[in-house]
Amino acid sequence: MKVYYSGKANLLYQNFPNVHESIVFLLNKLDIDYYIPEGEKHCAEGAFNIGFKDLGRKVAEEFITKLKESGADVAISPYAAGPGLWADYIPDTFGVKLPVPFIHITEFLNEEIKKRNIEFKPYKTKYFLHHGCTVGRKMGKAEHARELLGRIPELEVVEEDHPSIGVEEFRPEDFSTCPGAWLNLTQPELAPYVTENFVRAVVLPKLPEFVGSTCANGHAGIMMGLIAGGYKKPELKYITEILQESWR
Amino acid sequence: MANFEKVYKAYVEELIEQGAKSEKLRTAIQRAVKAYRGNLKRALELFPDSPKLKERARKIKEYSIDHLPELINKTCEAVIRNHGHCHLAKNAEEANQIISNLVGEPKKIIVKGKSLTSEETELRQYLQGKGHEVWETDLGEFLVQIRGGRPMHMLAPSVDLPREEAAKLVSGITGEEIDSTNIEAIVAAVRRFLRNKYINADVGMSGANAISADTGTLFIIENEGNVKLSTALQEKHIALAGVEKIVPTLEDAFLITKVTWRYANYIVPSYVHMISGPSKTGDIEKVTTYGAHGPREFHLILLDNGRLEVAKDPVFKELLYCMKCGACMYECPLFWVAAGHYGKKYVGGIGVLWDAFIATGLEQAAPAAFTCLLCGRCKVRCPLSIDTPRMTRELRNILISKGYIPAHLKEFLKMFE
Ligand code: SF4
Ligand code: SF4
Repeated sequence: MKVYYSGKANLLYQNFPNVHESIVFLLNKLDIDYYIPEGEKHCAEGAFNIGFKDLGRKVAEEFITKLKESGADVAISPYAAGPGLWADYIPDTFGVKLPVPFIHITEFLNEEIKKRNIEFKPYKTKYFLHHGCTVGRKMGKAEHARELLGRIPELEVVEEDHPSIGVEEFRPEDFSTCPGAWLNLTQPELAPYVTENFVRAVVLPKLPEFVGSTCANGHAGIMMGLIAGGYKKPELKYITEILQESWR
Repeated sequence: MANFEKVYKAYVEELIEQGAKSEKLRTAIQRAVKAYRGNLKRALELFPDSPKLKERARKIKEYSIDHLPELINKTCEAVIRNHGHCHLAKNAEEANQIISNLVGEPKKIIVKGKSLTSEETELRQYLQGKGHEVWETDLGEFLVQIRGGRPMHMLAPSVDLPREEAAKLVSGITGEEIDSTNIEAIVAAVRRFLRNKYINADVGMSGANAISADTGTLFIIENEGNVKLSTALQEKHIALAGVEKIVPTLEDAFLITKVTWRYANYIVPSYVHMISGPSKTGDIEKVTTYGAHGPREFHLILLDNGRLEVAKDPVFKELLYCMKCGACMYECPLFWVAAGHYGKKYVGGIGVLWDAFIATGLEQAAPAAFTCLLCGRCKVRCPLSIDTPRMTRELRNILISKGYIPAHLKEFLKMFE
């Protein structure tokens, strides 16, 4: 099986080389044949969400071409945007389809780790798991991240709670708050306030040691919030970093 | 597009300076969110049929917006049958003019219940400009009126105002000394002040939460009793409502009203008024005589202001389903920080869409269209699952095609060249 790993350029652009390294570490450890596209500029979601529909279409078409050329069987990404948009919006709007499935990295890793029955070292800490709005809410894929982290002994995972869960038919991911990273593109002046408020109102009350989002863009929002608030704790760690550190 | 740059700058400046930087505002909103969630939970536990009602409400709205012209005619027929008067206003200016003519001359006293539609047309300011004495009677709106500015939430216009400031404002207008730690004392002072206004007013005004086309009945939700006093004691009752408030039947209107109050945070409101025409009696020889104890005249002004056009659009017609319950705002991460500064005449993500197509036009609404995170929490909370992020994404596309694009996004575009 060959994997097309999308998002490296963005991870580096958003100052997450460690996240990229942890993904490569895991893919190597799992003995996965992967392909990292060169010259990936930005995911189509940025363009679509801002309102550049034509540009979004162009990026989407380029993605199809690159994916075909790579000969991959599956595409993965730590961003929620790509898999989310390709799940419905792009096919519905432009009538185009991907040649292979495009899934979130947590789904891919969870399945591969499950298949191989891999056991992790204990990691005694409290981790705040944020569900990216697209991957969690829209695609309903929150369980993979939970399962992945649940494989690590002694790791306590906390999530955002909401009084309507249990009263109405909602899951925690339905109400996960957006940390606000998009503002960095659409209204950068407001970004520090919204991201900081996310950390203060949503994350800090749970007193975690670490925090991370399924969506690398949400992750970037949390990072902005931690910086804007001058918060030393919790520390930002993506799910793959936690897995890397717990690898036996 | 130089003007758009100015509009954008002014919006962002207000958003940051008066919204995002205000710790006071953030604390007030945080408390309101907590109270809202707790109240809604209690209401849903007591009435577990609510999710089913939501689904029915959505269907009623879908049908109604698809049949608006027909429902407007039916409503007017019913109102006239009830000895009321029905007027269809094409735009805000026309609505204000009709109302001004109905109010007449010379200077009149007018008491007003809360109405977002009248905020849209800037009715109070218009009537004040004609020399009338106009009072907002909803406490939150009253506070907005005396401090200036605009409402910060659809249902809680002064959600950002702490008690100390409210006391100072009320004290300033009533001339009374008020204990600023005591909310009851503030409420009592406003109550005393407005009593005389209700009794002496010539005209009472209201909006409507829903209107049934078959009976021409207005449903109005309230808790304070101010709508009761603004629609019963005066010679004339004038109601201003957007055409999207119309639904086919009395039962439909009740259901919409019930879903509105449930998701607006109430187990049950203190009052739900049903008004179908002027006051009447048949107690002497069964001869119907108008103007018994309540208003002698009843006028319904139905406002189009772009709604009929939007109703034809397959994507944006969804914005007309909005019942203005305000639920979505309590879950919006931007509203938590910016409150009513996020938007213009209407607030929050759905408000931006209303501004764009109904209240302010594309240029004025454009800066706030780039505030939304498209995260979709509002859609989850909305009882009608209104897809605000989807519409916002489409709106941005329109704005960009018309050149209403912030400068930094033009730079972003260059990355792809
Ligand atoms: S989609 Fe926009 S309006 Fe809706 S909750 Fe998110 S930021 Fe607020
Ligand atoms: S969009 Fe939905 S939740 Fe928001 S005010 Fe309208 S009906 Fe209520």
